[in-house]
Amino acid sequence: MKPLEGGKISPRQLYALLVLSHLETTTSILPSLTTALAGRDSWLAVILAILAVLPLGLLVAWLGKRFPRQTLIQYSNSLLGKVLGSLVGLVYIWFFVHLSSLIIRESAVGFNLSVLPRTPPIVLIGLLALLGAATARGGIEIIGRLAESSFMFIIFFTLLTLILPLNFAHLEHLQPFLARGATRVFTAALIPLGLLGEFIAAAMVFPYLTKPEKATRSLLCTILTSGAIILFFTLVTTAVFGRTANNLTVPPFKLARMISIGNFLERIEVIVLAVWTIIALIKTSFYLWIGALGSAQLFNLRGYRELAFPLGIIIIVFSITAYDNFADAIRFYTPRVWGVYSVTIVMGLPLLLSAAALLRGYKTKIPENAPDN
Amino acid sequence: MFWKGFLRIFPFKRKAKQSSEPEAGNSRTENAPRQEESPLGTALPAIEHEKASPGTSFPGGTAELEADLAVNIAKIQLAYGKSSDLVMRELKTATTPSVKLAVIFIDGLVSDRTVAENIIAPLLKPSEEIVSEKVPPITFFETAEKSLLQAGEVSVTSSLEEVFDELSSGKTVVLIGEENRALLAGTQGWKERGVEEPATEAVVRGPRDSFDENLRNNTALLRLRLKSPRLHIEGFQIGVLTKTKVALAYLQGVASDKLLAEVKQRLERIKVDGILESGYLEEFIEDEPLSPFPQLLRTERPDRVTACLLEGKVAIFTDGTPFVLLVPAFLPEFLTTPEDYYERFFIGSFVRFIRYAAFAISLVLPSLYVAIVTFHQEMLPTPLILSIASQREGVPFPTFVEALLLELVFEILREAGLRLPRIIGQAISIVGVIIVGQAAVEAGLFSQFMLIVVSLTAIASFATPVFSLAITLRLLRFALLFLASALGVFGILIGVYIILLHLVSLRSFGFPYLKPLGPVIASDLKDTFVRIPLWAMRTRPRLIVPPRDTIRQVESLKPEPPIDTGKRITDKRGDEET
Repeated sequence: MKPLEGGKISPRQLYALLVLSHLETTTSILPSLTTALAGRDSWLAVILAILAVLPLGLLVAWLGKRFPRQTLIQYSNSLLGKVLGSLVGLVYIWFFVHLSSLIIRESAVGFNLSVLPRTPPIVLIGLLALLGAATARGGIEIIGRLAESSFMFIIFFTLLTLILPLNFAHLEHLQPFLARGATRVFTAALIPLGLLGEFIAAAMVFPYLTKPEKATRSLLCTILTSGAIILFFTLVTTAVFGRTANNLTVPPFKLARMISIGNFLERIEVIVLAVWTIIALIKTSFYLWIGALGSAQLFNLRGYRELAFPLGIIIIVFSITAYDNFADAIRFYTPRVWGVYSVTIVMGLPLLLSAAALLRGYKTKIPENAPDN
Repeated sequence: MFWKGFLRIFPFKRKAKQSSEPEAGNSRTENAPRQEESPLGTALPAIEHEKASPGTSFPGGTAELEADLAVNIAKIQLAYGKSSDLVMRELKTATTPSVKLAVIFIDGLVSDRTVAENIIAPLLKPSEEIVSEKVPPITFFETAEKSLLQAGEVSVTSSLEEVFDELSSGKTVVLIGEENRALLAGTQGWKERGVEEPATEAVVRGPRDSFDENLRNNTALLRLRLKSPRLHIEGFQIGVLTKTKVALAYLQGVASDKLLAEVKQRLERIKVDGILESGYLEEFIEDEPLSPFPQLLRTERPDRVTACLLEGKVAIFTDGTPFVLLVPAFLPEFLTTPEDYYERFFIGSFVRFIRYAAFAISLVLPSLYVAIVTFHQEMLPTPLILSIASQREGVPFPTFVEALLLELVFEILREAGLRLPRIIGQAISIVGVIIVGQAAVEAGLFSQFMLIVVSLTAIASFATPVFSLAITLRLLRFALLFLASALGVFGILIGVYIILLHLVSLRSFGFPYLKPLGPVIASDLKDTFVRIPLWAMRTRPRLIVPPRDTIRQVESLKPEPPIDTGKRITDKRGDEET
C-alpha cells in the first residue's frame, strides 16, 4: 500500500516549523496573557515553563525513537490498545484542529482591529482557513519548505520589532521581585507551558524526517529558541509598558507602533501584521495537516489529502463560535481555563504514552517489520 | 492509422543509427527485397496517406532508392513537387564508356562554387590516372566516392528519406547510373548572420558574442569555450516535418545521469509536425505547464551556457533559434547575469541586491499603493498622505481603476514600442511622454503620484534580467492589484502567500524550483543574495551535481601579497611601493 504521506522533511525544516508555530502565538496574545496574572514576574513564569518543557521534549523524542516509523496516532494504538489508543489519538487531533481554528480567529481579529475594521471577520477567517487547507493538502514537504524559506525573514523582522523599541524600556518596571508571591507565578507559567508544549506536534512528523537521528537535537533546539524568544518578548513588553501591559490586547503590535526612526520609518506595525499573517498561515496549515493525516490514520483511510478542505471548513465554524467578543476571549485565555486545558493535553499525552511504553516493556526499538505508516 | 504512420516514418532511434554508420544501412538494403513498382504507382497511395495524417508521412513512395537513375530522379522530383529551388542537373561523364549521373542540390543552401568546382567538374572530367586505375570490380560509383568528389564529408546512403534530409540541410546528392545508392557530399554554404552581440542580454564587461540561428555554429561557440572532451553534445531530431535538429550538451560526470535520462525521455516524447523555436520545446518539457513561472532558463550567451554546464546543468540547443534552454532552472538564477561574475564581487553582490529590490517593487508596488491609499491612509506620514489626497482631488476614478488604467496604458505603450520599427519607436515614446505623462495629469485624469508609482514599477520590471520572468511579474502584478483593491494589505499578503506556496511546490525537472531558498541549502547561499568571491566558491551548487564531482577548484586560492622576505620589493625610484 502506498504510504499516506510520501513527503520528507529535514530536521532543520522541522525546527523552523515548530519555532514559527510558537512564534505565532508569542507575537499575538501570549505576553499579555502571562503578564495578566504574573505581572512583572512573568519572565520567571516563562523560565519555569522552559524548565518544565525540556524533559518533556526528551520524553517525546524518546517515544519517537522507540517507534521510528510510526506517528503518535499509530503508536498510541499499539501501546494503549484500540479503544484507549484511539481516544488518545482523537484528543490529540482535536487539540490541533481546535488550535488552528483559534489561530485564524486571532489573526482575523488582529486585522479587524488594526487595518480592516469594516471587513466582516468571516471573510478573513474563511480565506485564511481555505488557504491553510490548500497548503495542508500539499503535504508536509511543502509546509516544511514554506517554513524554512520564510524563517530567516520572519525572525529578522521579529527581532527588529523587539530591538527597536528598547529605548522605551525601563528596567525598574521589573522590580520589585516576587512582590505578590510565588503562587501567581506558578499558575501563570501554565500559559507559556501550554504554548511551548505544542511541540508535541512533532510526534506526527518524526517518521517523515530525512535524518531521524537528529530528531532529539532539533526538538531541544526548538524549545530553547522558542523559550528564548518568548522570554525576550515578555521582558521587553514588561519593561516597556510596565503595569499597563496587563490591559493590552496585542502587545507586540503596540510595541511596533512605538517605533519611529527620524519621523520617516514609522508605523511599521504593518510589517508585524504581515509577518504574523504569514506565520499564522503556516501554523494553520501545519496543524490542519496533523488533523488530516491523523484522522486518516485513526480511521484507516487510504488518503489524507481529501480531508484537508473539509477540516478547513470545520475550523471556520469553530473559529467563529470560539468566543463572542474580546472580553469573552480574555476570560477564555486565562491560566485557569486555557492553561489547564492545554497543559493537560501537551503534558498528559506524552506522560501517559511513555508510562505505557515502560510498562509494556517497549524499551528497545520495535522491529523493522512493524506496520509502516 | 495516425499513430501507425508515426511509428513507420519517424523512429528517432533508427535515424540516428543510420547517419552514424552508413555502411550498415547499405548492406541491409541490398539484402532487402526490392519492390517492383513504378514510382508513380507507389507515390499515389503515399500522397493519399499524407492527407489522412498530415505531417507524418513523406511523399515519394518507397523509402529506398531504385537501381534506375530515371526512377530515382522522378521520385525526388515528385517529392519536392514544383519547388523552384531544387536544382537537378543530369550529366554525362567524359569517360569511355560514359556514365549518366545526376547532381541534385537545393539552391541557396549550398555554395555554388563548391558544387561547380569540387563536385561537377571532377565528375565530368575525371583525371586520366584515376580512371585508368579502375580495376573491373570497382565501379564508377566507388571511384567517385573515394577519389573524385572533393568535399570534406562524403557519405553513401540508399534511403530516400535520408536523401531528403540531407538535401534540406545543404548537401549535394549525386546519383550515378544504375546504382541504388546515392552519394551525399557536404557542400553547405548558405548565407548566415554573423556572430553578433546578444540582443536581450547585454553586458558592460564580458564577451560580446551570442548564438545565431545555426545549430552547428552554436555548438561550435560552446566547444570553443569548453575544450574538454567531457563536453558531450548529443543530437536529436524533433518535428516530423521541420525535422529540427536539437542538441543536448552536458559535461559528462558533472551532469547527473538521472537528470540526463529525464531530459532525454521528455524530449523523445515530443511528436509534433514542427519545432520552430526553443519555446516550443519548453512548453512540451516543463514540469508544470500551468504555472506562470518560467521553469527553464533561456539564454543566447555562450558564456552563460558554459557556466551552467560547469554547474551540472544540461543545455538544449535548437536549430533555427539563438535561444538555448538550460535545465534545471531555479528562481534565484533568473535574477543573475553573467556579468555578476565578471565584475568584482562587491559590485556583483550589490547589483544582486538591487535586482531583488526591483523584483519586489515590480511585483507589489502598485498594489501596495492602492491598498494604502484606499484602506490604510494612516500608514503614511501625515504630510505625504495630505499631498496625495490633494492631488487626487480632481481624479474621477477610484485609486484601483486609476492604477489599472495606467498600468494598461503602460503595457500598451511597451507592446507598441516593441513591434514598431526603430525609427517610429521614437514617436511612441514622445506620444507616451507628452500625452500620458503630462496632458493626462494636467487634465486631471491621473494623479502624479500614480504616475510615479507606475513608472517606478515599469523601470523596476526592466531591471529583471531574464525577460520571461519579467513577463510573469507583469501578470502577477495585475492579480495582486485586484486582491489589494478588495482586501487591502491583507489581500496582498494572501497573494504573496499563494505565490510563495506555488513556488515551494514547483519543480524544475524534479529539482525544487526555489532552491537554495526552499529547501534552504546553506552552502548555495554563497551565490544567491550575494556573490562571494570566486576564490571562495569552492564547490558546485548542491543537489544537481552528483556528489563525486562537487569540488570545482583547489583550496586556498585566495590571492595574497608576496611573502615578506625581509626585503620589501620597492620601486627603484622609491616613489612607489608594492
